[in-house]
Amino acid sequence: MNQQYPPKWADKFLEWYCSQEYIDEVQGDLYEWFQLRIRKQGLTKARLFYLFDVIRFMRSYRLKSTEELSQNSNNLDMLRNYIMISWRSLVKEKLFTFINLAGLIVGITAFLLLWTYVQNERSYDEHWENSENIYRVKTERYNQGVISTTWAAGAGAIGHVLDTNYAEVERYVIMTRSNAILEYNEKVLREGNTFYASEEFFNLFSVELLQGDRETALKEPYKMVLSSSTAEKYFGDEDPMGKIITHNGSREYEVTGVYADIPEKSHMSFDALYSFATFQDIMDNNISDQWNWDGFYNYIQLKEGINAEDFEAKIPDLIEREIGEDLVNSNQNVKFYLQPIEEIHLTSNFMMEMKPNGDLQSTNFLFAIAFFIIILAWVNYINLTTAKSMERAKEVGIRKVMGSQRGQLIRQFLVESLLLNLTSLLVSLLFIFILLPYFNGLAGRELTFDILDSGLLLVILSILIIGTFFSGLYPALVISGFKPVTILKGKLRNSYKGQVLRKGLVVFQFFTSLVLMVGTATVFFQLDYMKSQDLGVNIEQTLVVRGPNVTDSTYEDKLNIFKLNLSSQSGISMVTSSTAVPGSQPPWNAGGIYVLGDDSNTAKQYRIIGGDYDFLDTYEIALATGRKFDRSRTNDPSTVLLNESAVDLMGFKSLEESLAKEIFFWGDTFEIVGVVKDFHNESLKKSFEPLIFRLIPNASNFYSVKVNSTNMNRTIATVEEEWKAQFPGNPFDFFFLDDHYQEQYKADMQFGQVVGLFALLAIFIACLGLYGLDSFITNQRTKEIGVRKVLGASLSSLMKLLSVDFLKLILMAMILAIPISWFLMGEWLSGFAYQMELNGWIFILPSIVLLAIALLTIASKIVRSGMVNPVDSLRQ
Amino acid sequence: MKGTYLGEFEELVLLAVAALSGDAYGVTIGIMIEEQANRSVTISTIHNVLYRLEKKGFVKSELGGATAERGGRNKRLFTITETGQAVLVQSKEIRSRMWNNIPSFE
Repeated sequence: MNQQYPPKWADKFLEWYCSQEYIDEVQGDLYEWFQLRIRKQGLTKARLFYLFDVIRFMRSYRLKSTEELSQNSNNLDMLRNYIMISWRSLVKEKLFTFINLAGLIVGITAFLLLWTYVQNERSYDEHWENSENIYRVKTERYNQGVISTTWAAGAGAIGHVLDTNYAEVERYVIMTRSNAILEYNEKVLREGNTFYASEEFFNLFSVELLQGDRETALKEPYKMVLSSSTAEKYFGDEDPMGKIITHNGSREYEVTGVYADIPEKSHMSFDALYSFATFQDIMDNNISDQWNWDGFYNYIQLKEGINAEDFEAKIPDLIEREIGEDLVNSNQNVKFYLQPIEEIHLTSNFMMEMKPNGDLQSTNFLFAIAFFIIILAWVNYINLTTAKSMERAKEVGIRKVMGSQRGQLIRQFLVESLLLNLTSLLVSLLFIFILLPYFNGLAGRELTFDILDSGLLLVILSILIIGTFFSGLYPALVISGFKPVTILKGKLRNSYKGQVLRKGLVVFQFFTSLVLMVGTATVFFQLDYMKSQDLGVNIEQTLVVRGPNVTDSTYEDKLNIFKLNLSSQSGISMVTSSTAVPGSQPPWNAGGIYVLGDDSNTAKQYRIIGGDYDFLDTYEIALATGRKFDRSRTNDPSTVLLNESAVDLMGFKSLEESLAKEIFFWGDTFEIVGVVKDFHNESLKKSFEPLIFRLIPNASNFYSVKVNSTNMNRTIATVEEEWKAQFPGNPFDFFFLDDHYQEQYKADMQFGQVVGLFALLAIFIACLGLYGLDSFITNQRTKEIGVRKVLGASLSSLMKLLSVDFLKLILMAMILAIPISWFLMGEWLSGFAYQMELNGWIFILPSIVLLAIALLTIASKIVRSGMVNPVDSLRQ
Repeated sequence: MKGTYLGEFEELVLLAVAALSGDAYGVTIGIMIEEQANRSVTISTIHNVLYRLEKKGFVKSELGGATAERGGRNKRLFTITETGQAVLVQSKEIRSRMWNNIPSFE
């Protein structure tokens, strides 16, 4: 009779829990009982009841005692044996182990670094209490139905109006930037990062207040709170509370609080806050009625459980009620949206962000790269291990003959995989601690690697487990599946399927490397393209001094003396003062501008740059038509120049048509006297913006000094000396304009460097993989090589024979990689207004480099096996 | 009479042990009870009852008699002790005495 068996796993379970003392009678009786049941009730029921019986037998006295558990030595012994054998085989094949470890270490290190980076980018502003209920109000302005500007800092009224009209709003805060020079005793410093903030600030943002009262610190006018590092800077060991700080040489503020520095991981950054009541007082204006004055950060906190989208949908009605008529009359529109505070860092890049934000697309790219790299490393392990399997085949054969079961062999190879993965993981962790500061430098972040963080710990554990099984299981299955007779007869040939898989893996590795290389190349070519374009404005050899904030009625005279004295110096060719310099957004933006004679509802928004008579000449901005500002004409303060984009926006059909026309602007009329050619005032990521130039001879934001001497240090000293003579009480604060301009590309530069680094690592891993596969195939063909050599084949012909297969694989990787990287890079480039052509070189160059590296890798192996004396290879 | 009390199912098991003299273990006892008493039993219950009887001193046991059908596992073979026999006899006597008091069944 055919013996039928109870469910195996139920049996295993019984053996697992049942003490040795009882197992005999219990299992024996159950087996007999099971056979009886089959006859009476059939197999299915018998199996089911078997399971019930096993469970019923679970009584405490039948369970294994702890003593018994620890004595159950078979498993432990086997484990010890697995580890020992693994160790021996790893030590025996030192090169193989080293290559394998290197691949895994590089892969895991890269993955964890990128993971940390991406998590860091994604966790901005999560530290605020209630962060899920805090929103910034974004302002979008439309003219004639077309969007003109999107403001991070929008209309002054919106926060207040939302708060008073809707019960859903718990509280709101309004903030606006102040460009300040602060003074206390002898300390006079420029503080670019200070804001007016309304009184609810400390209730909305859980900033830790070290001194002072949360409720009242920002209530009264002329009060300020400092960050602890700012307080330290001005007061040292002194107690700052109640002290008086002078702002821009005139207003005096009392310090009413000190807060702990806010974390780097926020879209906000501020070194000091003044009460918003002060701003209202200075402006003599109630900002909460200002619907057309942009530049205010409005934060609202919604009540617990309020759905932001539903709330957002109510805003248009409110706007309609408040200012609907005005908007219709002027053919404008304004829309307000809520930006969840946690999403600002990665999704917001609008006018007047508090600081440069991150980029969602780059972050996602890097996240994808992280996964590709670690999969590369695992793939590598699979490749190398199966390649080596021929050498382990005899061991497996002998073990099988000696009675080893397949499960045990699989466990043996999994333990080996675990050992390698664990070692690599530990070394990687060590590497990360060493490399993190350098990586931070490269990526421009302050990442921390906190291994005790539960999320990270989970990732690390997953890497270990997934890595062990993903990379260990396939080789384990392949090797343990060898038939002992075949192996021991020495007739083992690897299956066709196995070869296809391994080749597929190599193609995958080279595909990934190539995509990363093309990516790196594109980023750097694009940066190079942007830097090499003619900007239309000369930013070289220019020293820019930030203008004085502390001034009095003699300012204009002093400015003239300053300019005159400097331009007479030998190393200096020109000096100009202006409200804006190339390389950053002009701080002035004006709406409501239209051509006199047109309907006022054709008004649109323009960026305004004010400068003195020399501004255009100093910057070598070319005139397209008309004339520049002229000292000899007294009427020039009421004239303007446009750039070509502005002419276009105003609706003139030609540049000449705009000349002598008048525009309405800030309650006055100005005559257009000239048009300048479009120039790249900002990075080439942006298209040209419509600019209007006004003559403001005493503009005090920036003084640009054109230097024609090679001795920059001496020139700086000269300028500083003159500065101190004319503008005492103002810190001398300067930058080089070309650096300032390049600063705009910093984030892209960093992205390129990070991608480049990981492209290198991917190539490294891929080459290890190639080396592995190569070793495998050449070993298999040792005899063939021997025979060919005996028959007179030359080394070079052997080389050709052996490398042609690999070249096919790399070619296949290229064919796959080119369209995909073409698509990906097109996506990335779409973020730039001025894009380079995606030409063939971007693909050909990386392909050639990759091919060369791959050929070298292959050659290093083939040459060695080709040089072996055929007698030796044939005798094997 | 604490410790010597014999439950109904215990009595059946003890009777089976006595009847099977020498070949009494979980399965055979189970079969016997199923056949004789015409009730279905679970093997784990029989085991548990046997240990209880052993603790009370009515049966004793030893290991032996492995077969292929049992996956090479030993049986625990039970034999009745003198105390066990005494208990059974006593139980039977009580019953017959009481039977004698019944006039007759209609």
